[in-house]
Amino acid sequence: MRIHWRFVVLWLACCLVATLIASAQPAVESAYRLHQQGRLAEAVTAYRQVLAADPSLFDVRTNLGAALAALGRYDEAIAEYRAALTRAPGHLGIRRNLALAYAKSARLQEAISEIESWPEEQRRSLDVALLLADCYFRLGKEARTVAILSPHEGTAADHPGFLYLLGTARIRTGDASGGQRLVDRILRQGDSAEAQMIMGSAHVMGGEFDRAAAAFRRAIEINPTLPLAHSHLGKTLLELGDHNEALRHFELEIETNPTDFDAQLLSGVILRERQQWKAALAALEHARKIRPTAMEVPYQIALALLGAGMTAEACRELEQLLDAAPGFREARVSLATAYARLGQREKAAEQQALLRSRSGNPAKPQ
Amino acid sequence: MRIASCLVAATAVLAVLLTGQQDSGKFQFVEVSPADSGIHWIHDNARSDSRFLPESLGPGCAFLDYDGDGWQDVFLVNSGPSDFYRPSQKRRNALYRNQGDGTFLDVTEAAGVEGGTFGMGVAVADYDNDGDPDLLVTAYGALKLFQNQGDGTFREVARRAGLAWTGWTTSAAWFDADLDGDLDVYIGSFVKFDASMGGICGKNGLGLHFYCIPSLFEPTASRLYRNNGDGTFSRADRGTAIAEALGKALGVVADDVDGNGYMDLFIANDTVQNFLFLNHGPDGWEEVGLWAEVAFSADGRARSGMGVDAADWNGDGKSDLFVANVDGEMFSLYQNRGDGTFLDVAFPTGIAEATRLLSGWGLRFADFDLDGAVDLILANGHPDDMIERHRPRVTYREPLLLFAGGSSPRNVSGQAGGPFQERWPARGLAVGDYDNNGRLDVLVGNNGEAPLVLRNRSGAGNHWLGLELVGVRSNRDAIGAKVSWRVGGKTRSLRKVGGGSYLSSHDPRIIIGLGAVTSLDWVEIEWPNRERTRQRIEKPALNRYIKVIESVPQPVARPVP
Repeated sequence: MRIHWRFVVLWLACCLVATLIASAQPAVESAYRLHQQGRLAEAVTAYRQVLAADPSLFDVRTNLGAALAALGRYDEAIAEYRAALTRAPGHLGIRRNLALAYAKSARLQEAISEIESWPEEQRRSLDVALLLADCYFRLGKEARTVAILSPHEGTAADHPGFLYLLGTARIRTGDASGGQRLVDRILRQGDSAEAQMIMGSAHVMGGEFDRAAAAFRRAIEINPTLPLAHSHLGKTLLELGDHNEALRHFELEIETNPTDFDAQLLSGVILRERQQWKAALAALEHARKIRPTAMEVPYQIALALLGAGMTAEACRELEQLLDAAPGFREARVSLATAYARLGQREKAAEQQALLRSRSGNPAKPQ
Repeated sequence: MRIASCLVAATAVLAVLLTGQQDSGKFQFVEVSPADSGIHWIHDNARSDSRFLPESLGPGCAFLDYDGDGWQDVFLVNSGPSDFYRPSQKRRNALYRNQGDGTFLDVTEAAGVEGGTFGMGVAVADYDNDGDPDLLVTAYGALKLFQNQGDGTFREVARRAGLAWTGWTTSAAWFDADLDGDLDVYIGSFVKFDASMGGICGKNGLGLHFYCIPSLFEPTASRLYRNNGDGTFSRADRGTAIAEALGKALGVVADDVDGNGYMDLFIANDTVQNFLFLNHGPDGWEEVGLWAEVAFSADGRARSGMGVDAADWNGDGKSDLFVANVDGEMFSLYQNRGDGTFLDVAFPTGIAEATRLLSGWGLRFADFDLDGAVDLILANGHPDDMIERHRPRVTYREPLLLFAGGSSPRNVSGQAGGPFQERWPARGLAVGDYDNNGRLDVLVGNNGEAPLVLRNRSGAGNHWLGLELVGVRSNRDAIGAKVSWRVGGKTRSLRKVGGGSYLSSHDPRIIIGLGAVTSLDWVEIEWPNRERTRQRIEKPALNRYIKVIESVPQPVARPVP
């Protein structure tokens, strides 16, 4: 679906070729060869040896970043890209790699800031627009996704990833007919993973969860690594009450797409329910990294901390959360519980009194 | 002689060890048809197109020995006239006399317990300490108190007794709150409702009205009535935490959860937090649900609590609590930590996963296979009769569930017999040994249908002891008594709780399952009076019921029929 990854590979290749041309040193050639052969860890070592001798080789450092990114070591890759940029300020290839590494490591806001700091003409290409739009989509800002992708509608008419992303974003922002038009284009292209995803989503909206699950399973069958397919299937399975299978699919999503917020959050919730505190906290911290402002995440983290007996830490999370969202009733219940566990009866009673005062009258019948 | 004694003791120890470990696999329940039981009564749920909420909540049911002949009879609660329902034909409750041969005879009219109100539940107890069980029938409308006259008839005395209450009452629990030797009663109150509130929830995608979620209705205060000892009651909730706590009570159980000698109250509320009222005796009542961590789910949400029970599930000497909730919320098994707080262990015990799509009502902790471990039976059914047309994998009729007790509870529903493979619109559930064979049978009230009678054939060959406790200084039913027994060097105990389940009342006798053990060292009763007096019975004969009268040293044995 997200075609921009292919463009990234191209960018990396460009960097590598540039490196080869720029340097005839045998050590660099050897490192590049290892990189090409997919022996990434060895390539990292080789690149580092070259850089130890001459730290100014920004192109070698960029390749080092690319090898680290390919190993999933995004934070190290980001550090290398940033170091390379100090030697070659404004280098578009490095900045693209940096933005991509931010996105892959769930530092979505940093990816957005990076891309939006580029000159206008460098942001016009479809691949960059897709990357930026996808970051906003993952942050739950579908309106921005629509705004970024809509200008490309005329030129990307056959691009299933583009059509799916824009179509879904339009549907989520309330433009059902506009979204449906794009979706129809995918469906006209025959049975594809994207088409099945769309059909699955439509079934979800219609409350037909068994049919939705079947469509998502078919999408996975066609393209097992299609981003969000396992996540959508997992969420559908939750609706069907099958939490074991849902967790399995969230974990499969995370394997290939660790920046999926829903998969991280919901797997964290299921693991918390199962009292697997460490694993739950790991998933929930990933979710927090993806969407630092989502209220549900610190709440779930606090619940996992409470469950794990880390009551003081849970208190801190809940206090911060309630500062930002004083009407979050469930969080207040949990904070009262946490205070009570800590023996802080007065504080607990205060929270209970607040709960009573905020409970109000039940809703009037509709 | 000495060698023989040692051998017996060693065998007993071994048997206990074995029963503690083995997978008995001996659960077997059989449905008894109306033709075989003679119970032909059918519940009328008064279902209308407007979907008035009271239609969806009944009925309750009970086992009781109303005529004192030693056989458990059956009482079934029906709907009736109300501000939204005018039945074309007379609707009535049903009292069936157990004829001792596996069949029942309808004696409702002769007994005078037809009702004439929109009945909900029933709580049975000997409130006047005269030796026969009385009936409190809760209702949407006026509740009824049927005083047993001791001659096979009842007299309705609610007004005279000071229990006249027209509202929406649900489950009730008889217990001796002040340990003065007679039974007080907590009566749960649901929501503010009247006929104008029918047909207000609709369009469920089908263009039809459906039953409103109770969160739409205002909560109410339940009541505690003190028994004056002269056949009348006085309000004992005014000015206490009970009156202050506005809830939507559906389930109530009385047990001494903090071990201070006074019976506490645990209330399952629908869509608002559960209440745990601690009874501090002369110092009054305190609501501690939030502190005790039984008020909300682990993620801080109020659930739709319906059925409840209390028992020492894991044999650690402390009372644990159970709440059945609505689908999607999962049921709760609250394990008593012993420090005033509880831990919901529904997930690690597998109960949460098994109940994820179910809505639970009547339930009971009991030793159904007589192996010495506390099992758990759950009656389920969704309140919305149209639910399967707009929600996946949730059905109106739902299966019963049975969990076998032990160190690690097991869902044995699949091996418990045909009735567990079928689906029922179950609500109330009562447990009782109606054929006096020591095995606890089950009665389920089905919404709008005939009740379900399950004969228990579990645990064949296991030994047991049945106790009929008769209080003298204590309340006659001995509600609140703690029964301990010693076998194979281990002491176990259980408490006779008040209330429990949903809208229903159980056989008041206590069954101790012993598995392969052939002798008990002793059984001790700690009576529910202020002195907590104890009475021990050494080496009681097994496989029979014995009547234990408070302060009378030797029990009166009741032969097994």
